[in-house]
Amino acid sequence: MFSTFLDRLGNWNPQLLRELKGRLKPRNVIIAIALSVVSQFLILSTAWLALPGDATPRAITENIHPDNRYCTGSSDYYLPKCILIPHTYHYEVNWQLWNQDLFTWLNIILTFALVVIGSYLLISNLNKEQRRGTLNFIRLSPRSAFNVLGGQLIGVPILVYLAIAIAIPLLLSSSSGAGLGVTQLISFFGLVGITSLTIFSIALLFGLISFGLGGFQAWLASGLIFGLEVAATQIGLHSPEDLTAFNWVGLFSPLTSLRYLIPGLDARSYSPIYFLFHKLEFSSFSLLVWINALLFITWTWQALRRKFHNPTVPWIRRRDSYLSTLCFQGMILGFTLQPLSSMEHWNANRWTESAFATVAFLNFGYFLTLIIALSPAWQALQDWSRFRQMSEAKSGREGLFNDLILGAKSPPLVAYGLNLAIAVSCLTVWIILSPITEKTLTLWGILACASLMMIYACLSHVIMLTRLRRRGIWATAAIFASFILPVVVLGIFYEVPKIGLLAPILAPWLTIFEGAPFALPNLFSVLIQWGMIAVLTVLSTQQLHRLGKSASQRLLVGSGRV
Amino acid sequence: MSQDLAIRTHQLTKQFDRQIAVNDVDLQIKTGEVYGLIGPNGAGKTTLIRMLATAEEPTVGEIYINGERLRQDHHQPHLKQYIGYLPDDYPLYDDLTVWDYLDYFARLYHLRGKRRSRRLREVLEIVELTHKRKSQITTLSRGMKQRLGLARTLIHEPILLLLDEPVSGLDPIARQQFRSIIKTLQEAGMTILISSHVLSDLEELCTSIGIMELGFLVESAPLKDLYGRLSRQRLLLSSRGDLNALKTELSRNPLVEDIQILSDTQQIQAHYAGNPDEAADLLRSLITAGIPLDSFYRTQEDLEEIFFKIGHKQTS
Repeated sequence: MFSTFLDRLGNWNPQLLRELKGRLKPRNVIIAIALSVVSQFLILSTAWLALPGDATPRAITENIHPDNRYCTGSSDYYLPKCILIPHTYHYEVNWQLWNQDLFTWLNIILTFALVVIGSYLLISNLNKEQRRGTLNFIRLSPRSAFNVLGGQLIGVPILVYLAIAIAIPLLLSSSSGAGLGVTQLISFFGLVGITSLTIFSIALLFGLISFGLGGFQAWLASGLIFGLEVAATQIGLHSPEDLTAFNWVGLFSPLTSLRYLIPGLDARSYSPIYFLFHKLEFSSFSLLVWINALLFITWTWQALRRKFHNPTVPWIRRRDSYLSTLCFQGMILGFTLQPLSSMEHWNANRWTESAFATVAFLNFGYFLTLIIALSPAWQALQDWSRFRQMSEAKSGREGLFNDLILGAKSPPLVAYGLNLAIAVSCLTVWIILSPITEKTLTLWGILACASLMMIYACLSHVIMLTRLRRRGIWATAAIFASFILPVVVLGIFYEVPKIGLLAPILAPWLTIFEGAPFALPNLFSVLIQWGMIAVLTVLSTQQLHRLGKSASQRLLVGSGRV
Repeated sequence: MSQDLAIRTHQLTKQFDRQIAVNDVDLQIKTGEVYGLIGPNGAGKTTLIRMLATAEEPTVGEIYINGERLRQDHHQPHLKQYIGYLPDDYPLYDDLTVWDYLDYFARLYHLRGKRRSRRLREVLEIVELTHKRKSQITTLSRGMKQRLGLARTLIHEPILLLLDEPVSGLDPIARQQFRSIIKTLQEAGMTILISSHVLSDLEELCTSIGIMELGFLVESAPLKDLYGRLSRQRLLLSSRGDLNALKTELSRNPLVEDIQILSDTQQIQAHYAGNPDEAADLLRSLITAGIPLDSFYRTQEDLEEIFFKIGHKQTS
């Protein structure tokens, strides 16, 4: 029976069967179960120790009772007083709160273990397959990327899944004690599943594209995912009003939804989360997590499919990038649209500035990622430059334009600019509708910011077209230097108050928001930026022409015949 | 005509940076042929085979497998099902047994149930590894690993085999085994493209030969045509008496040219343009002339000599 099931499983997904056979060895299974049981025991013991102990005879005689989080008496300061159960030495315990805390901590630990260890295993397994060369063989088989990578996604972290499955009885008992309904619990587990799938899909993509980093990549990625989860959980559970668009990051942690399930957590949160003027509740928040996750999963698997079958193509198709930018703007701007009543103690201008900073920061991250995601491999650019005449002869100038907007091997700058134009359009509408009074100034600011991103893209493109050995690292260093240097200069010569960590990204904005004495007219600064873009574009076009020269032409030039 | 072609390429080119590894190659291999690809290291053989196996994307040009265009940007599972590719380096899963390894790949190629177990037994028999089916891959010798790689290549019954240097590093016995396997596959009607530096093997196996140099396919013809155009017959004689007398006697025959005395072996070598009957007449005339002949061999220049003679030795 079991062997028939395994056989059928193997027919459906050979990769999954291989992973299961390799990992579900008795020794590994016993270790996973033991680790899970010991961890649960430690969590349960810690929670148990937090309960008030029994009253001592002296405490009863002198009527001196301790304060404890789980006691039921009145709380003068922070913790409630403990009350004795009549005719016993035991204190009354708020078991619901205790179970809520146990449920919360169990979920924090299990979710972090799931996504961080699971991602590490997925990336290191993919790295091993690539190092050994076996992944190339699997690529040549008729199985789809979805089948092979899906098999890895389910099979590689199987021991982590097993360890978590062992903890389900304790989770169920604590959720029942915490007063959670079955529907709420199933919805919560659904959120854990979908966000973990999102993170694992991103981890697989990272594993496929970061082969050059050697064995370090699994540590790096799991560290970054740990950081993302910490940030997402922090933002999700305690979202101050001025975080607005950052609440989008909270969608990447299922733990964020605990604020709606555990009453105590919600009370501790600073403010409610709004999306499109709508105050989010558990159901609407869950819906948003699902929409965000499904969008992410769709595009990540598109990228996985492309990179799996042909490692040299860019991650994302250009036609998809435009829609992706639109969705991203929709998501982050959605969080900034709040009813005016929710920010009554804020000055509308200050509030919009603050919301704008978060939008700018997230867009900065998005567009930096898009530089990498849209860039074809160096060889592809050279081939395009060298052989595009063949396709141009067939399709003319219109073909070239189409190729720049939709092609996979052409220079990415036009497509990148188009993505920026989409973002700028969305932000413009947002600013026009917002209560901010300095609309023109802010619109100039958006333009300056988009131009700055375009400069970064051009700079990266110019470096990627050189013959330097580690072009990717040089491009990253150049972009880093170009946004950190202006701030360093400002830091040395002027005081930059109240900008804090956002200063590097806001370099061109300092003139707008801080009214610095050296501020140039905004039109002038944007024109300077466009001048820089023009210079870099000419430079990259020249480089492309040079790369595209045929070998025979080079030989003839060398011999002085041309 | 293209229906009969297992492989057809049109202006196939692959460029790495400034180096053109494969340059404007128009290759045609008929169904059922064993096609040998020869050329110096770096001539572009491996890159050409990798492009045919879909492991490498062409810079420009087209590839047709059984008349159907191969496209790198399309997932074409049915075309992948046609192709079996054994690269020069053949990565294996060391943690698996021979049977589990083949079973895994059989499943990847959609082989199911009894058909899969039967096919596994068949390929193990073809590559003579039946007795090793339960062994861990790490315990196999290099020759056995090479044969296991071939078994993996054959598991899904491809109709086109692409073998890149399959006998490199093998001892003579393992090479002999490999040759006999290829012959079996050839008899089964499989189209095989094989690149190798061991030209004697190719001579024994191939029906057609392609020579690559500087990324170009400079020669592509049936082996018979190649011999007809480029291979000359050779006589190798030795005498108990004076070699100069033998040389003088030979020079009287108009069909004999380029007579050389090989001082180290005390033999005479000459090129010969006659047929077997004329060779018999020549032998009779030498004996009649009183030459105390010790040996008389009529041979033909082999593939290696043809290769060196035409001088395509440049890498791309």
